[in-house]
Order: sequence, then structure tokens, then C-alpha cells
Amino acid sequence: MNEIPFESFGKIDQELLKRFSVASGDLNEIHLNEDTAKKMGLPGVIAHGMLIAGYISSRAQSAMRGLEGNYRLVDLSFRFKAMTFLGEEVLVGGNIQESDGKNLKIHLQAVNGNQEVKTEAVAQYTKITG
Amino acid sequence: MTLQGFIGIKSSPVTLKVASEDRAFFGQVVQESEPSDLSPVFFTKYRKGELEILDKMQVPLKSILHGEQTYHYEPAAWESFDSIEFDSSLESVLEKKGGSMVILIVLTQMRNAANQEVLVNAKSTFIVRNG
Repeated sequence: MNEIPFESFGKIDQELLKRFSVASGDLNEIHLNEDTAKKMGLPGVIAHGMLIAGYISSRAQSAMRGLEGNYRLVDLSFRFKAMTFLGEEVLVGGNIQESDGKNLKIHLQAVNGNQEVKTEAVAQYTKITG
Repeated sequence: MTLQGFIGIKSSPVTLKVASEDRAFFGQVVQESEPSDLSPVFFTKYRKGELEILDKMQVPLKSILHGEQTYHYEPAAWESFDSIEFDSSLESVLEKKGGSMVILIVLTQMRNAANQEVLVNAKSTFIVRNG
């Protein structure tokens, strides 16, 4: 098993959430407006779960570039454990498990600066060449 | 109608063009380290059929939490395509805790609009809190 060191994707701020809203098409006001988020029963604006998922997949892709051979991503799954709020830092890391010489499984977690787990993920790749 | 009565409902198929600048912008925002690579999570843009289904079921957005998300990628997902056609369907409804919590699973299929080749099959799990 190979470790994938945790890397920081920086802190969540409102400008980032505006950009991700445009990029993803998810314009839900709970990600953009404090008052709306609170009216919906939330403590405040929350980051899109798929933004955190995007960071995780970017970390998986960068980890795969360090390996020999060409792999194709086949499956990606996310379990959203906790909300991420403005001001929280997001870090992503995990490990690679080689299963049968052709298929690889990567386990990743997104955590905040206090090591609280926000999202867990599994990425499965199949080898094409090399 | 009970929520179970909605099992099998589908959203209307929608086709959207995929602009290279949209792909690049998404990659920038999620900090893909190789700008030319397609972020696997880019396909989240084509899940809008889920909203149509939740709307038909009259489930208030404020009561929904996104529990899990999976994507299964066919080889065509990593080849070139200009437009994606997508639609969603409600696969299952599971009541828990005496109905105070309901788990909804919605499936979305994304296809290359030019040749109908399947690109991605997505499964979204939503947790609906009642009361």
C-alpha cells in the first residue's frame, strides 16, 4: 500500500463558492447567501459537496501521474460525512492499494485543518498500457 | 401519492453543448494540476434531471442532504465529445426511523449526443429529513 500525502486546497471563501456555482451549474443559495442558508436551518453558508469531491478527484489524478503505466478511471464514489463551512481549510490525502496488477483502488479523505473528516472517497482505475 | 409511488419516474432528456472553456474553468476551480485534463467531477454539470424529479415529488430542497455520489465512467467518457444528452430516474425510496428519514436514490445516464454512446452512469443518494 502506498501513502498519498495530504495536500491543502486552501480555505473555503465566498468568492470560491461563487466560482464553483458557475462552474458546476449548482446555484443553490445555501452555498451563496448566509441568510438563505440560515433560513434553511444551516449554521451558515456551506460549500458544495461536489466542490470537495472535485478536490478529491484532483488529488487522485495527481497521485496517479506518479505511477508507471497508463490507467483509466472507471469508478469514483463519495460519501459526504460532514458539511464544510466558510473559513475552513480543505486537505486531501489517502492511500493506493494495488489489487491484481491491472486494477488499482485509491482511498482518499478530505479533512479540515482539525483533521475532521468531511468526505471519504474511493477511486478505481484499470490499467491500459505499461 | 406516497413517495414510493414515484419510483421509476424519469426526467425529460436534455442535451447541452460542452464548451472547452467550461471544462477548463471547472478544472481550474477544483485545482486539477494538469490544465488539459478533464476533471472526473466535471460531469456533475449534467445532473439537473435530479432537480426535475425532486420537484415532481415535491420534496423541499431545504429538507435534502446529499449523502453519497458515485460515477461509473465508460471508456467514451475520456474521448472527445461536443454535447452531452442526459436524463435521470428515481430508482428507490427507503423509509427509515418511522418515516422521519427517507433515502432516495436517483440514477442519471450521460451520453455523447452525437452517437448516443454512454459516457457516465451516476448514482446520487439523497437523505430527506421529515419534520
